[in-house]
Amino acid sequence: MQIPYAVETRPDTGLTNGKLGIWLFLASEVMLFGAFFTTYILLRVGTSPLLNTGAFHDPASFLVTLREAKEPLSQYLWANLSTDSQKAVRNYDVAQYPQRSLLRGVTDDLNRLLQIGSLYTPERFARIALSPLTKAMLQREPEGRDLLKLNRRLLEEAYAHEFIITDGSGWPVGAHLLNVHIGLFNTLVLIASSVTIVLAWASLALNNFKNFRLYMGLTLLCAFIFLGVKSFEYAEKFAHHLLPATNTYLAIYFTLTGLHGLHVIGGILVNGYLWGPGSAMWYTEPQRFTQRIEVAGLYWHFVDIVWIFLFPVLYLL
Amino acid sequence: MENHSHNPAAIKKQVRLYIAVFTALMVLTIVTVAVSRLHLALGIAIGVALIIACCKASLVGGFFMHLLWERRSIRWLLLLVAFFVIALIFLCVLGTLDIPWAAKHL
Repeated sequence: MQIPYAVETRPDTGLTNGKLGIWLFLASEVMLFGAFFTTYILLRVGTSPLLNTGAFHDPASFLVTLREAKEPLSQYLWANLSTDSQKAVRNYDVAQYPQRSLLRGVTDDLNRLLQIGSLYTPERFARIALSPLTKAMLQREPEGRDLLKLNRRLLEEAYAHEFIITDGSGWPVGAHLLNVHIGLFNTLVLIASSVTIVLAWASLALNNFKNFRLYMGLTLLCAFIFLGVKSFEYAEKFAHHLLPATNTYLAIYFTLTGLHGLHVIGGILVNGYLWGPGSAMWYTEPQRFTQRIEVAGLYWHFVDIVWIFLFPVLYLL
Repeated sequence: MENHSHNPAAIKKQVRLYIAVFTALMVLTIVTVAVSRLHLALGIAIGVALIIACCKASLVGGFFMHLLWERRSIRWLLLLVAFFVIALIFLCVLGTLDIPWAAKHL
């Protein structure tokens, strides 16, 4: 079947069908990602400063610190755990990753404690370096929800290795949970792939098929590097028991980056075909092939734009 | 527009433009990370990061995706989508007014 208006523009739209098609598709993609970004906003605004089982970076170490109770703060927390929790923590086997029910018991007890009064006494925090913001909050002697936020901060700063550092309202700070350098590297790789694919198209427009193969090849290389780095990041998170089910931040992180990753894979399939077997069209229908590269490029640039928003939102804010 | 024609001289000029845009994107990426190191107040940090991201997206869209020289119908389509996305975000954020502590910051 002959696809109409693949090379010459359609009189009524003024566009080739391929180009109109990809733009309509991208418009629907904007809505899709827009919906997920909205989800991110809702999850973030709805965060509670109360502790939950996803509040920990290293729960095992926290439980051990609690039961050993070597310094005043841990002694205080330990003394205020319910007898059931104390028993469960005492029986906890360090070789195992803590069960969710165990963590829930402990966080329930701690949450009660966080709401009744300030955790701070000079004695308990004698050997803990508090941040200027936390010190300023202490001065204000807050109540209610602000007291809860202050107490959560105090806990996070006292057990910086054990807790996931949050922005004070319970939403994890991306830079503490993810590696910004790796994220930055991947951002630069994806931007580079965006310029190489547009250069691949320009090479065809200049009748230079050899350069097209080079630039499209570089685009594919960048895409593979991006995916390789991303899977390394995922593996590192999984190894530390940081899973989509751990907390809402990680849930939206894996959803957004996973969906973006699927788009990268889709782009690799199409670009790979156009780089390899599909490029035979250059010798039979050069103009149509050039059009195809432009359309594939539009999709690829969109994938780049999505990452341009994902990177600061997930890694930096 | 004439700027986006297929004659070799125009394409070569465009390639130089692509390289310039590429450099700008790299610089803006570094700037975003540098700003995040300043530990600004959360509201300001979000504003700055989103402005930089929008600049980068406009550069990619305008030059790499040729939107600056594209047919008006495509630009209208994107404007319509932008409207719907903003409406989506706006309505959902309005919904958070029901959350007492969130309402305090809006």
